[in-house]
Amino acid sequence: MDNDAQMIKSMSNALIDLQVKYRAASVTDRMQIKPALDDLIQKFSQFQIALLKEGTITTDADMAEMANLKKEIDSAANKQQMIAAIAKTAGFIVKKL
Amino acid sequence: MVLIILVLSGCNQEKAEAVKVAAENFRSDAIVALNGMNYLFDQNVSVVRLSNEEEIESVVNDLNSIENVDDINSTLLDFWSDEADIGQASKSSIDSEFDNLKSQYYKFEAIFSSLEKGSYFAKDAVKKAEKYAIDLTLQLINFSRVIQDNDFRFASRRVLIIERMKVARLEPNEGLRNELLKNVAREFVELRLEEKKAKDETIRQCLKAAESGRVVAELIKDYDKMNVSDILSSIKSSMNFAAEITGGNENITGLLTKFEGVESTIKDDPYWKVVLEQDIIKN
Repeated sequence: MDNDAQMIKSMSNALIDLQVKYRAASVTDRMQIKPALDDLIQKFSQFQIALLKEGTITTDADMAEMANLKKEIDSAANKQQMIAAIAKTAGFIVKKL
Repeated sequence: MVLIILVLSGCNQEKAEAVKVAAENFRSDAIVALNGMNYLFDQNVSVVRLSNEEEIESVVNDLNSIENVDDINSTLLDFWSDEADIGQASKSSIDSEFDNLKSQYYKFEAIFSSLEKGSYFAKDAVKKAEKYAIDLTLQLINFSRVIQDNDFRFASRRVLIIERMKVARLEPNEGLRNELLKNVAREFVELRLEEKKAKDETIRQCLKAAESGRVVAELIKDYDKMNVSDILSSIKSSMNFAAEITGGNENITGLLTKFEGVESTIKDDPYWKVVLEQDIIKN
């Protein structure tokens, strides 16, 4: 188990145990424990997201480029439609001749 | 000239349609995989939610435990309200990260949405999209490893099980205690199996999606050389393989090893290496 996995496991255990304590505590104690619980959940979530980012390859610039490629193909489609329309018109004219 | 282009386009149109279908398939598989990951990540930080009845009971218990009546005030009401939302903001931020990831696959699929209409003119753009097919495929292989290497628990359910274990352990009647302990032990074993099943299924979905992505990349790579029949046969054999992956017959370790091989092949192959390292020149 690498360090990240060990950290995830420790945070998970801490979150579970802290929730058990929290739920058994009086309201006065819960008021004091709640900030720690909030903080742990937030840090744990951020840690998980960081794991995800490490595995993320596509950047914002890549996202923009994918949109450009779509435009390029869309315009090719329009060009195709235009040629088809011209061909149709040409065919129509040929029939009339 | 117009007629020549139309004839050439007609030849390419079916191939373009096949690539479009493969890209849709890739997106669809990737979304299932990412939804599975999203669920695992949410469960790992999940907080026990109270039903309305449980909340009423909790408030009554709190009110009974307060010694000084002056402590019953607006701050206390605010606390109870905030308490009901514990963990919600973190869940939203995790969900939002996954929405961003999903949008990459929708964007990739969208590249090809009008491809069959302009198949003759779009060859260059299709070629440029190849890099993203490979990037997103490698991303999914990487995610499968992240899931495999880490523990994902259903935290809120573990909390409830610990509470039940404590109650059972403190039961004075021996017969009833053993019964309660047996029930909660069974719940724990079932939960552990559910956690493992969810994790394994998510890894399988990631690898299934990676296989769909690999096929799209291959189709783009060999687009000029392949005929429609080759393309459809490639998609079909990939779908068969994907069915084997999610069918649960192959073990996870074996599958991960196989896909590590796919990853090495992509990264070491002189052709893919160049594609991966290329900077796409903006038009």
